Amino acid sequence: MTIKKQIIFKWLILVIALIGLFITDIILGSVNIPFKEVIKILFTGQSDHSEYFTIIYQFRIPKAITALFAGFALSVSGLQMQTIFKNPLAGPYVLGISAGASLGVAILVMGISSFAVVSQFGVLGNWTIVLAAWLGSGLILFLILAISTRVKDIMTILILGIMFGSATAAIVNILQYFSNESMLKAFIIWTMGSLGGVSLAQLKVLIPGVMVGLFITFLLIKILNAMLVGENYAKSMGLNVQLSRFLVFFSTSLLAGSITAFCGPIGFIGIAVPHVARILFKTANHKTLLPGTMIIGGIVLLFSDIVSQLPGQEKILPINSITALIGIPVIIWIIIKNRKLAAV
Amino acid sequence: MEKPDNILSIENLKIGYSSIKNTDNVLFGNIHLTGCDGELIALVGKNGVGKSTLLRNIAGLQNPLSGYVRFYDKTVGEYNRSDFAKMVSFVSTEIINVNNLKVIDLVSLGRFPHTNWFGKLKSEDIIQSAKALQMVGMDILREKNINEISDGERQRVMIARTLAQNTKFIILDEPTAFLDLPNKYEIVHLLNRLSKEESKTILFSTHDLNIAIQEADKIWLMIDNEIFQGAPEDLILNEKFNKLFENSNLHFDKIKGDFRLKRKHKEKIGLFGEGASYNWTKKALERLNFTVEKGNELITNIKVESEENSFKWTLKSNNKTQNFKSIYELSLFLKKQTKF
Amino acid sequence: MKLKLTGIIFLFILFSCSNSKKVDSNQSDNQKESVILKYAKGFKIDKIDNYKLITVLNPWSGADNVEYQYLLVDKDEVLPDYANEYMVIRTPIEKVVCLSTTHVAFIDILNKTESIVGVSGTDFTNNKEVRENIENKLVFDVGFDSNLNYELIVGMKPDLVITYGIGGEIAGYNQRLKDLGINAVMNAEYLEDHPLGKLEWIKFIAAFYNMEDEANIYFDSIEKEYNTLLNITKNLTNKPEVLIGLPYKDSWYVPGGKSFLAKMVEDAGGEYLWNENDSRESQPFNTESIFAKATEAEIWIHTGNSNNKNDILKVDERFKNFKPFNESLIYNNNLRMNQFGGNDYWETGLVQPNIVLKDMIKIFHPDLLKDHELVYYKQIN
Repeated sequence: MTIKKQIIFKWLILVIALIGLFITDIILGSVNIPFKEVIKILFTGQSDHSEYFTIIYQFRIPKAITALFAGFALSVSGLQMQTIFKNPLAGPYVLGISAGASLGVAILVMGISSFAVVSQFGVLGNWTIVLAAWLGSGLILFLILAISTRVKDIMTILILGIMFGSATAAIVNILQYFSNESMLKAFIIWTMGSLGGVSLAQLKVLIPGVMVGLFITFLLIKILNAMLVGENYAKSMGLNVQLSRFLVFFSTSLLAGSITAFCGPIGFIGIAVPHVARILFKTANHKTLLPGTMIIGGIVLLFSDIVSQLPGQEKILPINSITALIGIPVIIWIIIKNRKLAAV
Repeated sequence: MEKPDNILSIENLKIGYSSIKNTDNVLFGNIHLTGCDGELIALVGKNGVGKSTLLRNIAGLQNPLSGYVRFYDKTVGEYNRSDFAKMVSFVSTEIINVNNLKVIDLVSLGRFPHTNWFGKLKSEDIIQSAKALQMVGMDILREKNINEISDGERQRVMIARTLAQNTKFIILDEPTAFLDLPNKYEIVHLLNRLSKEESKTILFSTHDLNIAIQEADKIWLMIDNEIFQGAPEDLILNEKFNKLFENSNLHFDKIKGDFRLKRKHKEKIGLFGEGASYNWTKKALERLNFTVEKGNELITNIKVESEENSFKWTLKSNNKTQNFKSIYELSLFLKKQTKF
Repeated sequence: MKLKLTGIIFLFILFSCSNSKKVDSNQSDNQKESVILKYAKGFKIDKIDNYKLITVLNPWSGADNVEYQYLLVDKDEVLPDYANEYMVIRTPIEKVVCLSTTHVAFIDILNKTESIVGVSGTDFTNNKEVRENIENKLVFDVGFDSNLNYELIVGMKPDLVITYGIGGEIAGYNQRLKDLGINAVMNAEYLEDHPLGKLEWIKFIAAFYNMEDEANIYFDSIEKEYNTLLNITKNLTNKPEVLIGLPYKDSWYVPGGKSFLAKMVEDAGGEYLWNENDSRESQPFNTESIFAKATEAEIWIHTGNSNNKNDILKVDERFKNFKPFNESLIYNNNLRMNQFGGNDYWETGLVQPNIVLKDMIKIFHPDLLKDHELVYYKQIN
């Protein structure tokens, strides 16, 4: 097969896998809905069992869409972080985004949310948690951006991001220490990540957020390629380093921050998937890596979601455990294979 | 006398690092330098004196503490990023380590300031990249990953990248550092050709003084707290070169045109012979700390003669005669003697 | 998982320092009489001579073969020679620290609220007298779980600290208090799965006040009423299906089929949707499966913190597609709350299971108990 045919074949397989897994994620679930019913509901919009209809349209389709976009967003933001920091172990959360989000949620669930506030303001709704997560990660992003204009070396920013992450984790620890069981449990469940808690209405906010982030990243392809040779060389070739950093951090926080706000932190996808894309396409060119990473991210997260459903069982596993079980072996394999451990 | 047309001028530059406490760490001050169209300039100086910092200041990668770097009629700060990148390119000693990056792709990155927002390579870009690779003699390796080639080859690829960038000014920090001797000469010779044929102004720093003297049109000599500029020969004749070696055992012999270790010569020895065999025997004897006196029969002396396809050395000392088939044998013997 | 491990570790520690010796029941000069407990499985009271030996069994979730024994000796009595093998508590106690509002409720029934000097979390209690005392700085917050304010407790010099804990860590607190010279006992009424079993712990508390008779009278009267109510419901045929709780994101923790809440639903003449489940603990289910299973639920109770249907929607918008949300009767157990969010259902509700049962019967079968007005529950609209 010629090289060109090989490439087309690769893409074809990926797209088919993506579509296939998307459909499978809708067909399989905790409740056993017969395949015929699913088809009927999807294509005719009607069903004899109204609860099946509700499940498909209110639960499974939003969840599959969430998994898809979360896969896109997390893997692409991981790719950007690995390029800009020239570090193969960087991921979407190195800037402290998930730590900031968890701080926001922790303060809401364990700090402010004493019974007093709850009984006054009513129920701790879903949107409140999303908002709290957003504000938390936004705060961290603001700090990072403020610092990145003053700091020359990109490595310093990496270390600062990690330090911010640790600092917020310490504060969260304090909040946990002073909480009772139910608050603690609610918070811990949030940290396990969940794709199924996003309703259609919330998707109307999530999807545009992710799309804007992906669009910005698309515009950054040339800049990301230039960053491969390091910021100094990129600058000598005419790159506006400050602006580029800003755009990369902004799009990353838009992508990873949106997902974390709605789904909680979901790990390992951002670190592992870009490497899989690099191995599959054998290129460093972001023109290929960007869409490649996106599709593989969608595939991996859809697959993880299907597995976490434990199809047929009423119980579910937290999504983070599955992504860890899939992601960690990949990362280990990458490290062992690349004994020279090149930058990216 | 015609005033030189300086398209690059460095005026009263002070380079260094400013710290937060507002105390500037001045590396070098009072720098006045110029460069002309189509010139190959070598920046020479001791380690740590500030060559890299100066080059980075000129390339716009670092800001000076005070003073200006002027290209044509504008200072560095007055150019917009893109125009500046089309005018000045830079090669450092930084090692690029990326997986899956092909040589040709790395070189094509040099077209960055010329391509559109998406980075699409048009036919002009492809031609320039290919030409650049050819110029450094690396086109056979174009499809290889940069992690699979040697350091020297990678250095040449980085230079090809600046050639693809196609700028009037090229600034290189120690471009000969990783190269073997033939390649060192080749690269500098290439730079020389470029300066003449494409009328580029090329500035590079190096420790290879011999090559600099041979190929450069101009030398910027950085010593402790002074900078001198001039043709290499000027700096030799006015002894400025020797300031480099003030605290060492080396000195530049302006008559012989090379570097010699200051030696304490001990004994005198006579030498008879002609041509290359005479010269190289003399060099060996001087290495052994002898002072050579041509044609002196009265002291211990050596006669070198050609014999069939090789040479033979005859040592006469205290009426004793000895023959040697090689300089090595001769020097072993002499070393043993002088021990007593 | 972590609880089990902690439990095992503490088991080992305790084995070395806990009172393991039992009074030899065959000793002829000891008169032993066991108090009869009808429903409670978590404790025993043995009367030996003039003393009371209380044994608490497996006082935390997952404990196995764990026993704690406390020897209650009246102030005027002489200590028996075997006293140093047990934790000795002199009765009646006069100053007590309660780590749960349920303890407050028990003590309130005995009319000994003035003996409470410390509680865990001053926000939670609904008890008027205690709230007043908190205002007047006569009752203090001693913290809870891992950050009990030991200094404060020691300063109060209580005669007794009544503790409760979900996992094995409770053993740690008790030991710590003991080391500081404070008597601490474990109260595990929450582990009982029968509402009357829970109530029966009033006898445990009463023993410390020498008020066993009052406790017995109270218990018997409540038991009688509860059983009368059971007679009404046990033969009912039209039992409505009952759904309990609210999800968090897409996990819905559903009470086990053998849990106390499930039992109360059945006692009230309802049909708990998961009554075939064997577990006493809550199980996490996928919200999807709840949606599938609970379509026929006629009654939905215990909807978190919600006060109206909008609140439920705030938790998850998809409930608007949920049949019970639209067609069923929704009742929440948060009618009696103090301004800080403390729910009396968990306080006096415990000592009035008959009232709670009446509430539930009225909800499930509105045609019965026409004169009863809901005490702990309110309808969610």
